[in-house]
Formats: sequence, structure tokens, C-alpha cells
Amino acid sequence: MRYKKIPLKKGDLLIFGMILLLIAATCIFLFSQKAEGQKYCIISQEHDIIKEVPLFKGKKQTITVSGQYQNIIEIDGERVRVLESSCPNQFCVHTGWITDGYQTIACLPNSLLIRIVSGEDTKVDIIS
Amino acid sequence: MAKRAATAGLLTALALALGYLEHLLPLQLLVPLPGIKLGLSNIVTLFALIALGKRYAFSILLARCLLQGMLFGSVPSLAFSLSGGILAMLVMSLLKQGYPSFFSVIGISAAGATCHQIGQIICAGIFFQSSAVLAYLPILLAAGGISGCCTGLVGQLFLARSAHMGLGNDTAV
Repeated sequence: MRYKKIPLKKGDLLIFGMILLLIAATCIFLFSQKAEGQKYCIISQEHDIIKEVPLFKGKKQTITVSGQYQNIIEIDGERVRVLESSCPNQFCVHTGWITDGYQTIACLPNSLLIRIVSGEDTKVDIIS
Repeated sequence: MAKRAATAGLLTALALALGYLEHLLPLQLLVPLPGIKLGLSNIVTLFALIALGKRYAFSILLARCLLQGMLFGSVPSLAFSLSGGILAMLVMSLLKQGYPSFFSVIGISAAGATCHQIGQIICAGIFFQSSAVLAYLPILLAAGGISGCCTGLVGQLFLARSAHMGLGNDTAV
């Protein structure tokens, strides 16, 4: 089977254009949401917030979360990461550091979610 | 009629095998979001949509997702693949109206893969009750678009060589 040219049609360009538009729109939307004010690290398990930690420069802290598995969370100044975990897939450890508003670390086996929010909107979410 | 049913069964098994292959490749090391995948099974979904029609494609999708979830998935991954797959299926069957005159298989596949990612992200947002998952949207959309093109190409090749199966599908390039 030999192709003389790539089988693209007019409508495909429309589709690609829309996809690029979508990507650009989401990028713009996300970049306009930088966290302002005092940052907090919110650690929740099973949808319940179990810890709210204010983040300062030069602050160092480790938090251990138990549950079905154990996660050790390290806070270094204004960034957070999971240092160690006893969960089977280690995705949370591989995520590394998170530093700003829309980044999260999740450990699904332990139902754990770590986020960074700014002081003004600790309770406000777009979806909930 | 029996030939179409047998083909559907064959395609379901193929989609399942592709899903298992995907399962072996840990894409999560690149993007730390549980449930991100290459979308290889979309090749089969696409082929079924064009060769067998909407109903068969939808049934194959549901069967494949359920089997995948039971065999080597988890409840979250089942939810993600179902939500992504259904949204992709809806959009692709809409776009199929313009096939093959206005769209090509590649375009339909790219749109389908992108909608698959959007569906997954929406489901993840509901699952984690957080809008923070939206941060992954740009890279996922880009990955979806690219993988959609690739699977579309493979699907096109698949369709072109399937004329002898006698399913009466339109394989015009």
C-alpha cells in the first residue's frame, strides 16, 4: 500500500486548530491563577483536611501521615514533597516538589492529597 | 450479522490486549497523574466506529473498559477510562457524520483522544473534589492531540487493509 500524500482533509485542520485553541486557553487561564498572599499547605485524607500548614521561607518540617500506608511529607520553605512512602507504586514520591497553586501530590492507595493554596481562598474551589 | 458479531468479539480482545500493553508502560513516571495513558485501544474503537457502526463501537468500548478494570485496573482507573472513553465516543460519532468528505480518520482520532483526556480530567476533578487537577490539562491535551494523530494513522492503515473482511465499510483515503 503506497500513499502519495498524507490523507488529511479540510476538517482536520479545523480540529487541530480547536485543539491548539483549547490548549492556549487553558494555559492562559492557569497562569492567571497564581497564588497570592500567605501560602498554606493543605494535606487531606479521604476528602477530610487533616492538616493545614502555613509556609514560610526557611521553614523546615516533616509530617508523617498514616493510614493504609505511611507517607512522610517534607516541607522546605515554600515547597512540599513526599519524602518517603510505603505505598506500592510510589507515584507520590516520584512527583517531587510542588511549589504553587495548582500543583498537587496524590497518593491514591493512602487516599492522600497534598495541595498548596493562598491565604485568601483556603475554602474556595471551582468544583466544590 | 454473525460476521459482525464475531469481528466485534475479536476487536474487544484486541483492545484488551492493547490495554494490557499500555498497562506495562509506566507513563506515570513522566506525568505524575494516575490514569494517564497512551490511548492505544482507541485504534480499535476508531476502527469499530467506522467499520461496524456506533452501537458496536460503543459496546466494544464498554466491554473493554469493564474487562480492563476487572483484570488489571482499579476502581479509579475504571472510572477514568469510562468517562474519557464515553466522551470520546460521543464526539467521534458526531464527527463521523462528516467522514470521509470533511474529516479524515486522523482528525477524528485526534479529536477523540483530546476529548478522552478532557473526560478523564473532569472525572479526576470530581474524584479528588479539587480543581487543582486542571493544572495538568495543557500537557494532557497536547499529548492527547499527538497520540490521537498517531493512533489515527494506524487506524487508517488498519481500515485500508480491511477491505477483504467484507464488512462493507468505507475506507476511502
